[in-house]
Amino acid sequence: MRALGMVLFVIGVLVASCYAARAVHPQGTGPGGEVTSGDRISAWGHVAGAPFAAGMVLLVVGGLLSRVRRPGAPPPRPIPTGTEHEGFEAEGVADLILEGEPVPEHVKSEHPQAPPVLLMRIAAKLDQLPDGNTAEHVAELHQTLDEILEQDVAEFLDQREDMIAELGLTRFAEMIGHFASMERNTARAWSALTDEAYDEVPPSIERARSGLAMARKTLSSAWSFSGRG
Amino acid sequence: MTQAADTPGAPANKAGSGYREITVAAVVLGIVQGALMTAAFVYISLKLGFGLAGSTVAAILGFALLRGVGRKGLKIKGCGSIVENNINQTIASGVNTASAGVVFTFPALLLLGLQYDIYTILLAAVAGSFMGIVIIIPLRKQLIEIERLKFPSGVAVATILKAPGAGAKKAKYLGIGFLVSAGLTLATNHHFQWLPETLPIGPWIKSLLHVGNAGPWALVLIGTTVSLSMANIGAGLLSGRGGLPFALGGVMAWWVIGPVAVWQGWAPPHLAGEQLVNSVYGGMLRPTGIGILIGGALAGVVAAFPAIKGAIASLSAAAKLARKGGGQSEELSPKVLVVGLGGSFVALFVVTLVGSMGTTGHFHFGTAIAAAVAGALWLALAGLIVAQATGATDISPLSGLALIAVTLMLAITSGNVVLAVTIGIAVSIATNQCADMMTDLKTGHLVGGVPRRQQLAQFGVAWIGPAIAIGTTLLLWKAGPGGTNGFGPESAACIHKLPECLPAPQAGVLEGMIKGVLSGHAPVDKYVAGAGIGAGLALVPIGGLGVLIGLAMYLPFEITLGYGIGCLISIAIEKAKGHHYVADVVVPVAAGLIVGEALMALTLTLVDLVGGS
Repeated sequence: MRALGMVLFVIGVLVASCYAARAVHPQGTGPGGEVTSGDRISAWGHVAGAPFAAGMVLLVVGGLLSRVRRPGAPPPRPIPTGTEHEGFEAEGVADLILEGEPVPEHVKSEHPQAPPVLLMRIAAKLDQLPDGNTAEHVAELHQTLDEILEQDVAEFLDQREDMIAELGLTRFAEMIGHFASMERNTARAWSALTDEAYDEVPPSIERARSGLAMARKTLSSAWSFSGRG
Repeated sequence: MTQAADTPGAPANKAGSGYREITVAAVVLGIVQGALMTAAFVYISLKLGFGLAGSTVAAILGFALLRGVGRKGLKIKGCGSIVENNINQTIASGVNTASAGVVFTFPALLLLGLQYDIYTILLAAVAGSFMGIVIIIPLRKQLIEIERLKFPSGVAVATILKAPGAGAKKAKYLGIGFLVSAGLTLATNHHFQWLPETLPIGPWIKSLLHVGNAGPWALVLIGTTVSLSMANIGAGLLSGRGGLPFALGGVMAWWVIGPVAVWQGWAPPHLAGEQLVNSVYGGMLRPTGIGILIGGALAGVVAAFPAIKGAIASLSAAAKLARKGGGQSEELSPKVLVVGLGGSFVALFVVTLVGSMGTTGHFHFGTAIAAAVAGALWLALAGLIVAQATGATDISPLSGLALIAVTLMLAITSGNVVLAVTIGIAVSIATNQCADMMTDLKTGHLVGGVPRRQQLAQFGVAWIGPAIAIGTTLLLWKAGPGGTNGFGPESAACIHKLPECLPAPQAGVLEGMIKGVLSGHAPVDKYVAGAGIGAGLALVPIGGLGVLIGLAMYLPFEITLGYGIGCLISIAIEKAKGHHYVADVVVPVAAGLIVGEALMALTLTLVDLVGGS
């Protein structure tokens, strides 16, 4: 259905665009025979209105069909009101991840790119960073911060569409705001480290941890591992 | 100044901790650089017809002066930190960005020889400048954090700022990109012409296959050229998969819509070759593209409304949380949005009220209110369009948006050209501010700058750029004989083909557009039909699709195609080598390509001007 929708949508865009671009030569009805905007629109409607409208119908129908969810795909989840979840195994995993408990290896291997697992990986890296004596750990800090900023963030953002489908736009926006705070403060720690402003590094990392904790809380409370590879 | 993070439990970030960010040195250097660039770029734009980007120049000079002179020469501890230099380039580009908006619009008023009130012009320009920054407040979260737009120039500047800590390998790739791009810019410069500015792939095939100069195939082949602008290809490299709809929009326009139009006999039948290409582009594709841009942006606002509402709510929550913790949020409060929008609207209303008098000597309140409301709404929408377009492609459709502003105002004010251009000035400056502020905030996001500080810095200097740009333009105008006609094709210097001739080509374009609108030649039908398509494109869950497709139709194909090649290369590399390779190699090379072209173009332009050519 989605494929059919996309085909209709593309055909609709092309037909409507061709006729939207159709040149017209209107007769002026304004004072002194001047061409008015109304003249232009009326002349265009006369020669291109019908095929343009047909194209728009295809575009709209195709666009709506392309939004139909795949059969078997989980519906968007309502925003939870508290911390209570229906107690099935997969959501128990989300809680474990949130609470920092060790996650069964089979879950990690079955869902290596699941956003909660990716966030857990970043959290583990941030937690391992030393909180003091920054000057003595410059190379180690640089390497870990680089890994987070260049690899882990990109891998997490690759799942953007899945996350929007799962969380809905409002919940996703809330989560990604916290994630962005983590990202920006991690970058600030990196910059401070480069500038040898070592006092700035630990508080920046702490803020990054806080932002990430909020992102994990928002994501894990609404994420379902069921039916995902 | 203290600042708390926006999440519960996060430690307050004491600005006095020693990490330099907003400092007197950064602010003063930013203003001085910005002021010099504004005056210089106004002159360059009047002379050559194009503006230049200031962020890269400011970032590099910031290194030399803050880090080199400040830290090493004057022994100021920690001077020239990455985030301090980020504030410097934010201010410099924030001041300078007004030059492009002013030089496209204000000189048209002078060339048309109409009476104007300079204080009204200044008020409109400053109101536009502030409004451009204000509407970015909720859009920052939407476009940078939620939609994750790339803002290629923002990434390039961040790469420069981070260069001291990025390691030798990345510096090498940055250097390679820089040298390739600078070399190609030199080789394609009109003085040398060692290489053509575009690769005429289609025309080569056309002559190989002996295709004639008329008909749909001729249009496809003559129109298919690739710009050798490395900054353009670099922007595509940085955008990757996200930029593909833009490239596909260009393909759709030039390989489907244009040929169909010629095949159906909608193009003038006597045209062939370049004339046919220009007719299809200027008369059909470009105006339809503008319409799609507008419809796409409007529908985008509706589609993203829950997220934008959420962003404003989270700004409020962050401000409350920060107040509770005795610090400041990382974000500006929504109160600033309300006060800024209100203040700018009042200023615009004063402008339209004074402007509504025209030659009658009486105020027209109804017209003034309608013009102020329409002007403010269009300004906000144009800001969103330009922020999205810049975020995805690094290209700003300034002239098209200014044209719509002028058309709209001419319709509302029954042909009051002075008021229409005055609002056009506000819109042009505001849209440039939006693009610049958003690009700077992207840079800040990547280097760990605090958004609130960047926005406050740009707020503080928002009035400076318009004042300098308008002042410089007037000075150059009054340098002519009798205190007028200092530039433009009718100026004495241009008539006598003297080296000091300033033809003001952009203003000439707007002047021509205004005359076209007044004589009923504005393609309103295409704007309206295009807007319908743009709105429909929002039905597919691809963020900003309408804006990207519209922008692709609005721009010459050589730009879209070059950018698309960059996207495809990036996608292929990412697939073959992974994210890490893209971050380690592709990003610094692409940043080098953007910076290399910008700096070489600036150098060649200055050489041109000094040489009097």
